[in-house]
Amino acid sequence: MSLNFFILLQLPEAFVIDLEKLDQNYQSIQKEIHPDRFASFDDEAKLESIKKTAQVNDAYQTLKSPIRRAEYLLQLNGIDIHDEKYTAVPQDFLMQQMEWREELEAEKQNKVALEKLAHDIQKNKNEMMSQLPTFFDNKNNLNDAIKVTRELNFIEKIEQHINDALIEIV
Amino acid sequence: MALLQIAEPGQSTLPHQHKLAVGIDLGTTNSLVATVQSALPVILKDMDENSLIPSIVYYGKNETKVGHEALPYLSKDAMNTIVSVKRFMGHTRSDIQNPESFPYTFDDASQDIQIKTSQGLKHPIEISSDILKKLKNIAEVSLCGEITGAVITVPAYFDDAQRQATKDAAKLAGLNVLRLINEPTAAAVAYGLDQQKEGVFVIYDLGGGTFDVSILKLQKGIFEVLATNGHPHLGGDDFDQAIAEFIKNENQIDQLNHEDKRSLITHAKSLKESLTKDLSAKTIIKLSNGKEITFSLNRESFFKLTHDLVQKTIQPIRRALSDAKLSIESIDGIVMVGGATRMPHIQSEIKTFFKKELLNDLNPDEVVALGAARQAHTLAGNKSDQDLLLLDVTPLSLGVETMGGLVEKIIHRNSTIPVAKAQEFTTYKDGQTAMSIHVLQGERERVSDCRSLANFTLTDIPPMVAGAAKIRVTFQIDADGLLSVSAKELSTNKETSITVKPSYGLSEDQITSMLKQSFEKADEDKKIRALSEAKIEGEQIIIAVQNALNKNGDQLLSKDQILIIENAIKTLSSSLQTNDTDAIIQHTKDLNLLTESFAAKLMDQSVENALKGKSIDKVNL
Repeated sequence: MSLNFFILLQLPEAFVIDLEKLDQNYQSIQKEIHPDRFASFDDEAKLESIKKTAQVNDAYQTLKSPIRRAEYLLQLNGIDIHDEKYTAVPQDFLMQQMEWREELEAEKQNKVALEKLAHDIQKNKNEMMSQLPTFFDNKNNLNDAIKVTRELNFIEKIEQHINDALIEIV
Repeated sequence: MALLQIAEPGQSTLPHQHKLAVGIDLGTTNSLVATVQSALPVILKDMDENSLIPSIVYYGKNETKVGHEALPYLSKDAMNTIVSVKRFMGHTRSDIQNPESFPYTFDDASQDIQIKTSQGLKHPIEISSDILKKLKNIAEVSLCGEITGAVITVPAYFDDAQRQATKDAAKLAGLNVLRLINEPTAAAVAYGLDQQKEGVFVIYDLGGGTFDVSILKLQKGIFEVLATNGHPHLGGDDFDQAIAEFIKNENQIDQLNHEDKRSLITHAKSLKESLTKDLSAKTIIKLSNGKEITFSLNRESFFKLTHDLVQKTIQPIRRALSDAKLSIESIDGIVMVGGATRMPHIQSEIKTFFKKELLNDLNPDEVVALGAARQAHTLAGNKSDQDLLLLDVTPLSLGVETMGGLVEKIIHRNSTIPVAKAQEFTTYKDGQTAMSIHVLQGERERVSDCRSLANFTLTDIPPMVAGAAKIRVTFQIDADGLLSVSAKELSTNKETSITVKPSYGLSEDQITSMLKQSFEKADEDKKIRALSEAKIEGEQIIIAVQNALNKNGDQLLSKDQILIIENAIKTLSSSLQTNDTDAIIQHTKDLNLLTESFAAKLMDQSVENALKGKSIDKVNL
């Protein structure tokens, strides 16, 4: 049984969280339980400290990223967005995806074009992100939240590919 | 009854124990050892006032010489004089692509790298441990006492095998490793604490044989690594090599013996160093056949010759920035670390890239060891006025082999350590009781493009129909950046046994036998050693338990429980006054057993108290 990340970091279980408080709580816990604090303790305490710190790190990384946080909230509601049940993607988003990917392939060497593509995608992403708080407000119907979180997952991947391509351009 | 003597948290209650802890920078070309004295980190020097100890080991028939004493043998007996052994750490024989370029003979029968010397076969771990022994000795002579613990630095981009090899070398040298820390992080500690800097910093660390770049956020004693990247085989050595090749080509020398090759490299190195301050440099090389070569090189040609090497460091910087999601503009400072960063074209190239002045305030050769000393001081439990905390990351992604020779990532690069991730596996045959998991490190998708770390074989899986067994495998990377794996069958809640076949390095048995050999060689009285080890362990556990009790014993344990533990401490304390090894070991075990479940409670309590906004240390004091 793993502990609820929100409880662990003492934040209300919601999509919109106080990021400053997240940082503060994370750092206060780290200061107490990090393995460096137990370097002169026995092996048992050292091991427990590693386990607990790993858990706190996981919780922090999950809650810090809005997309991971959204996934986690859905998971707490019994929804695994990577499950086959949810693989269907709306036609228009699929088309949009393919367009972006084609452009990435075609402009792999073109820094200006890639930066513009990244900028466009970023805009799209921001729009979708801004919808999430409302979607999560409606606890009885999380279908929109599922859809947008899944789409954001795709967007995150393509963003990574664009970044990788940009790094390769000398 | 009153709780035990109350001491500052992390501090010993025993008055005679001021702990001597050192930081060691085990470098490709040079190594250093440092400690904290009167709250300031200082480099410890050998008898001849040297602070930089060349990472060179000479294996003569009857003697081993390390550091400056080994230097003369470079050109006299190249075959038995090992340099840059760090490049071999965590590698196998098949990783060496051009064995003929080395003056050594490698043992072809072994999968490991084994170098034939006049003292027999030497493993890189043994060679490194000889360097570490030398450093330990310098420290002990200089500090007049036994070293209780050491922090050893490794390149941030070192993989699991290279880290494990370093830790094994330390073990073999008889050092108690408090922590392995990353070189750029150590440098940041020296900068952050000694210079009181805050903000986002890039540490550019070009050593003798490795290149690292780390991006850190410094604030209020917390050093948070945001991303790290690097190149496992790029350093000052490559610049020497480039010059040496150039000299060879210009003078059309092709037949060179090993001593000549070494001498060429030595001359190349001195040319490189001269060009740091002068616009041109000249050298005269005497070859073993009596021929003399006069060679001069100016800065411009040197820069042109090595331009590609400098450029190779740019890509990792861009990757690190991208992973940290930062732009050049958001960087507050760039710290230059490693002797190789003295080269003027590196300075100007990096300055141009970041459009910012570089920080060169601290000696680039010493800064890593100084930071490591600071961390060692804190970890050993000496009181530190700074609330120092390092949050480092794992440099490479970790994954397992799946169908079709692909790698599925389980832990992503730049995850803050310690990190643990679980993955569930299932059987594909009815009644299957064992399975093998191939663990790899690297960023690429194909198994063949990643570095194989180990094969874990899970056995004792309860026989079930195919797909019914659910085996949860937990991959854990600890604060040293080292991997461990555990597995459990979920439906039966049974731990499955794991045997590890590391792809590199030494097995536990090999280490034990090497340790035994080295003790025998040292001709030590084993009984005395066993007694002193038992005493140290006994003393350590008393301190550990007292620390734990002082932290929040009264919140977690009943008065009776505390009383029992106190009695066990008393029993152990009195046996520590005797020379009865068996009794000490037994009483240590007893105390250990009594406090076993205490640790988990302590950790949960710590989290709770941290969030109540009150530190346990303060509550109890």
